[in-house]
Amino acid sequence: MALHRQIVDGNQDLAAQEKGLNFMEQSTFAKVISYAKSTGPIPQGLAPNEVVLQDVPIGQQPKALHLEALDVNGDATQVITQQLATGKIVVFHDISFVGGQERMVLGFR
Amino acid sequence: MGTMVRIFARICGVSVLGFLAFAMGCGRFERPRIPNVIVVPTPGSEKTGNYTLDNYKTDMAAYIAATTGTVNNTEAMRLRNNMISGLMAEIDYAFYDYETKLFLNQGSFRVGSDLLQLGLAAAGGISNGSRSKTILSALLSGVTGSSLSVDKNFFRQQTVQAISSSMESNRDRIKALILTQEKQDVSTYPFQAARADLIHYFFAGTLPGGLQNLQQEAGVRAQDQRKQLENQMQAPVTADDIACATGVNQAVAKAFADNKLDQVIAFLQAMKVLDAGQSPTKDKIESSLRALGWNINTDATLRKQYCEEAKKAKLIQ
Repeated sequence: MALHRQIVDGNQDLAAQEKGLNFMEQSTFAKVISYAKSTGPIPQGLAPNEVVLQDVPIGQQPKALHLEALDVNGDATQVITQQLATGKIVVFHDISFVGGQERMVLGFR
Repeated sequence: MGTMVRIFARICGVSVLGFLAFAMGCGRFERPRIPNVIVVPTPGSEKTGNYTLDNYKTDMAAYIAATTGTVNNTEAMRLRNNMISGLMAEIDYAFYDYETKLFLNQGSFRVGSDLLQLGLAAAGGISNGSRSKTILSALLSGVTGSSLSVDKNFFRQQTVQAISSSMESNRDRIKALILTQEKQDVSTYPFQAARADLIHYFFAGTLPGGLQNLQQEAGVRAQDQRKQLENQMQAPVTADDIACATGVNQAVAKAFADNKLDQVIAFLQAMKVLDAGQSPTKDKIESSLRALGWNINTDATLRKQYCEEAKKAKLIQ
């Protein structure tokens, strides 16, 4: 299935970014497979995150995405354990901008 | 003291040998010999057509005469343009000579500091005492540091090539402006205005002028990049937007499963992504839905219309 890239505003808080990603999945019939801060040159004041989505067959939309954020060097064990206990699995974990600052962001569904 | 002398002798030996090898191997490489008909100053008493201060004084006196009292516009324009062309040629000569030296000087400095670094590193390698090695590595870091300092302070960490193209592009821009102005009469474009432009033209071909132009270009590029990035960014999403997109997604999934696509087609036609009266294939409908989905991510107005039309087509409540 085809892959697509989109830029998300990393100056937004985590909840707004979660909404953004879920809207993107639903409106484009796709699923997020990776999410991280943009690697290219970043103009001052902007905090772009880059999301990669993969098309899914219509009717096979996966469950909604849930985001968690930690300090860049934080320990993700506890968060992952909590989410696994609720039946969710890790979709991605990488450094992204949240509120304009670099954080370790984990995506679960 | 004896150790220091030996160290110095080794450094000099290796560095000088390297320099001699370089100098003997290269010869004249900065530019070919300048032809006598171009070179400034004129060789001997021959005239080569270069614009001298005497030429300038004569033209200037004639120009003042032509623009005083009853203005002889044709003659004044001819004299003004003659002065412009003469001065421009002199500025061009000075610029290209300077540009060549700029390349050469930076190259010589780099070669010199590279040779010295190689010499110091080699001497460090063949020195016996640990003290000598310490002194040599301290000297080596000093040489490397001075090379970086020249790059940082004189060239603002830009390459000579980048500065040179920046100077040339800035000069071309000003030259084009002057040549366009030459068509104006002397009341609109007097020589004083041309002189100001020529001064600008001269300074565009200097190191600070080139660096300043580079900085301005970088600023414009950064602004363009910023705009481009902002245009690509997803517009902020509300809870209503998610409810709408999820509702459309589910309705489309059901329509595909039931093979009842009339409402979906009507919706896509209302959004003008399918032509009215068309009987599109399932693949066409699917690709249109996906493409529209991407567009509503960056365009908030289109997103609003999307949800309104989805309601009208009864895909969502």
